[in-house]
Amino acid sequence: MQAPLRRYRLLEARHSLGGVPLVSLLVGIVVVLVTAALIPRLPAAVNAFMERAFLIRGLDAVILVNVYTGIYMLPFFGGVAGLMRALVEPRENRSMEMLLSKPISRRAFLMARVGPVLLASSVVGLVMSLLTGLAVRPFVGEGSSVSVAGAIGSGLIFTALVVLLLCVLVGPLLLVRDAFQGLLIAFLVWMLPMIPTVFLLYRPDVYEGRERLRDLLVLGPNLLWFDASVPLFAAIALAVAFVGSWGALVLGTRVFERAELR
Amino acid sequence: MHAIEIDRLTRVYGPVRAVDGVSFHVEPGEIFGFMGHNGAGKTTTLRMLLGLTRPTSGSARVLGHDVVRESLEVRRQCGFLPASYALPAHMTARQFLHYVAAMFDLDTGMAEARIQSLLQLFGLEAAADRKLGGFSTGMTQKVGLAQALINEPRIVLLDEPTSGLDPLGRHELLEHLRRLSSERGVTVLFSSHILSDIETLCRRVAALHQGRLVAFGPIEALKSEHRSGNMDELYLSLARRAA
Amino acid sequence: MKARFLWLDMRATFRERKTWLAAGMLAYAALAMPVIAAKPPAHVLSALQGWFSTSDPSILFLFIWTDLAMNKSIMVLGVVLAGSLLIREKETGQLAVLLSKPVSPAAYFLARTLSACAVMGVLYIGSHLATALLVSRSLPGFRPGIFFASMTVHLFAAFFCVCFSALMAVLIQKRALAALVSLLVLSLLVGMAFIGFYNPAWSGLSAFNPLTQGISMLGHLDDPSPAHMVGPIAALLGMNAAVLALGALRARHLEV
Repeated sequence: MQAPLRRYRLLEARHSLGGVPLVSLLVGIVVVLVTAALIPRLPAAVNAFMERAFLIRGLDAVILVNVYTGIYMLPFFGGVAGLMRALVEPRENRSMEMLLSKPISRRAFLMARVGPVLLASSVVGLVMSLLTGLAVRPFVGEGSSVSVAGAIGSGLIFTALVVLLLCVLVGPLLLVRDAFQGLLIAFLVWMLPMIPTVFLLYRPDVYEGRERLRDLLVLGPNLLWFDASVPLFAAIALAVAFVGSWGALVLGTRVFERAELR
Repeated sequence: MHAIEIDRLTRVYGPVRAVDGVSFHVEPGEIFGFMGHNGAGKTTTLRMLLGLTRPTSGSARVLGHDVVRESLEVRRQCGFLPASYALPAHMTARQFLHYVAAMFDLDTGMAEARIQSLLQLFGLEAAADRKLGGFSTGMTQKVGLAQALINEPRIVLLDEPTSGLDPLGRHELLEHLRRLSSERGVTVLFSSHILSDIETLCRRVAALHQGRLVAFGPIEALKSEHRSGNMDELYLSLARRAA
Repeated sequence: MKARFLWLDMRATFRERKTWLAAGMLAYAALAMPVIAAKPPAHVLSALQGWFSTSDPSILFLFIWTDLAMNKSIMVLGVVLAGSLLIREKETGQLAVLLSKPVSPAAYFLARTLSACAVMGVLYIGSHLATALLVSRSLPGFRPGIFFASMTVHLFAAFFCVCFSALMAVLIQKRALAALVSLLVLSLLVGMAFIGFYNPAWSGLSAFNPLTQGISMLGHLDDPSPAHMVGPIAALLGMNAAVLALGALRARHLEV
C-alpha cells in the first residue's frame, strides 16, 4: 500500500528545494578543488605558520584544515537558505495560512519541508567529504599525519554537525517573520562552534593546562590531531547528530504546533 | 446535526478580546452570511473553526468534529479561502492545484480530473500552465477558490471572497456558490463586510461587532425586528445598539 | 524629497529586529576584542609583521579586528540589509503600490540600496567607536589614527557588500537563492582578501577583490598617508558605482 501523503512529500521536496542545493554543491566542489590547488602554491612560510598555529604537520593537514571550513559552511548556509524558503517565506508572503488549512498536521508539514533540506545538505556535505578525500590523496604519503579515511570521516563529522545545527535552527526560524533575521541568527549559531578554534589561533595560552578541553573543543584541527580515531568519531558523531537532530525537530514541531501564525 | 456549531467561542490576545463568547450555528447546505466590519472578529472565528488558532475558551464543532481535537478531520472536509493570501509565484496554476491535491492524498488520476474540472469551471484552462506570479487579482482569486474546492468539500469557509473581484467576477462567484449549495448541498460560510453580497446570497446571518455577536437569524426577521429597510440600515442599527 | 525618503527608510530599518540583532552582534565583537587580542602568541605577531612588512605590533589587533570581526560581519550584514531588496516588496504586493508613486524602479532601487548602506555605515561606525573606547584602555600601543584610517577605507568595502547583495537580489529575484549566492560570493572574496599579502606574486590579481582594497591600509602601517587611503576608496567607489548601475539597469526592466 502506498504510504500516506507520499505524493505530497515528493511535490514538497521538488518545490521547496529549487536551485539552492545545486548552487551549494557546485560551489562546494569548487571550494574543495581550489583550496587543494591553492594551498601548495602559497609561500612555504605561510603554510609553516598554519602548521604552527593549528598544531598540525604537513601540507596535507594544512589543506584539510582549510577545506573543513568549506565543508562546514556550504551545506550549512545552503540548508539555511532552504529553511528560509521552506519555513519563513510562506509566513512573510502570507501563504502559510492557506497551506495549513488543509488536512495535514503541522508535524507532517514541517517534516515534508525540512526533510528534503536536511537531505540536500547531507548530500552536499557527503560529496564534499568524498571529494576532499580524493583531493588530499596525492599529498598523503608515508609519514603523513593524516589519512584519506580521516579526511572523509572528518568531513562527515562536519556534515553531521551541520545537520544538527540546522535542526536546532528550525524552532527559531518558525518564530521569526523576517527571513533575514533568521539568516543572522543562523550566522551566529554557525559561528559558535568556531570560537574555540579562534582562541587556539590568537590566545593559545587559555588552553595551557587544559589540553583535554582543547582537544575536545577546537573543531577542525582536533580532527587532524586524532586522525587515526576519526572513523570511530565519525560513527559517534553521526549517532549523536541523529539523536540530537531528532530531539531538535521534536522541539521544533512543538514550537510550530503552539505558534500563532498570524 | 448542525453543519457548524459554535458555543461561547472566545479568543483573547493580551488585552484584546478578538472573539468574545460567540455562539451560533449553521445548517447543512445553507449559505450563511457572517458579517461585521474589519477587525470585528470574523477572520479569527474562521481560523478557530479550522484549528489554525486555538480558542481561549468555548467550543466549536464542524460536521460533528471538535475543532481543537479533530482539526485534521475538519480540514479534510472543508475548503477555505483566506481574506489575504499569496500564491507561490514560481508555480503554475496546475502545479499549485496538484500540490494542494497532494495534501489531501488524492491520487494523480483523481487529482488531474478534479483540477481539469475546476480549471474549466473557473475559465482558467488557457492560463493553467502559466506561472501564478503573472496572474491578475481576479485570476488569483479564481485559483484561490479552485484550491478551496479541490477536495469536493462539504463545507466551504470563505473570508472576504469578493474583495478584489470585478462586477462580472463577483457575479460569477456568487452564482457558483449558489450552485454549490443547491446542486451539491455544500454548506457555505460566507464572511464579508460587503453587505449587498450577503443580502444577495444568504438567508440567515450572524453579525459580529467588536468580537461580540450582535445578531443571529434570518435577514428578513432581523430587518423587521430592527425596522430596517435594507442591509446597510440593519447593520448600522446593530452596530449603534452594540456601541 | 529623496533625502527625506532615505531618512524615513533608514528609520524604518533601524526599527526592525534584525538591525538590533546586528547591532548586538557587532557589540559582541567589540567586547570580545580586548580578550582575544590581549596575549598574542609570538609566532602570530611575527608572521603578521612579515606579511604586512611592518615592525608595528598594533598590526595584530588591526588584523584580528579586520579579518575575524569586521570582514565576516560586513559579509553577513550586507546580505541581511539588502538581500531581499525589491523581492519582498514584489512578493507582498507592496512594490506595485510604491511604484505607483512618482518614482522609477531604478530610483527606488538606488534609494533603498543607499539607505541600506547608510544603516550599514551607522552600525559600522558605532561599532568602531565602541571598540576604540574599549581597546584604547586595555591594549597598549593601540593607534587610533591608523585604526580609523584603515576602517574608513574598509567602510567602503562594507558598502560594496550591501550593493552586491542588492544587485544579486534584483538579478536573481528569488530571495533564498539570491541570499545564498551573495553570501557565498562575498565569503569567497573575504576568504581571499589577504591572499595578496600572503603571496605578493598574486597581489596584482588580488587588487580586483573589493575586500582586498578594503584592507589595504594594513600594508601601510609604517607610512600611513592620505594618498594610501584615496586610491582604494576611489577603486571601491568605482566598483560600488558599477554594481549599483547594473542593479539600477536591471530594476528599470523589472515588471511588477
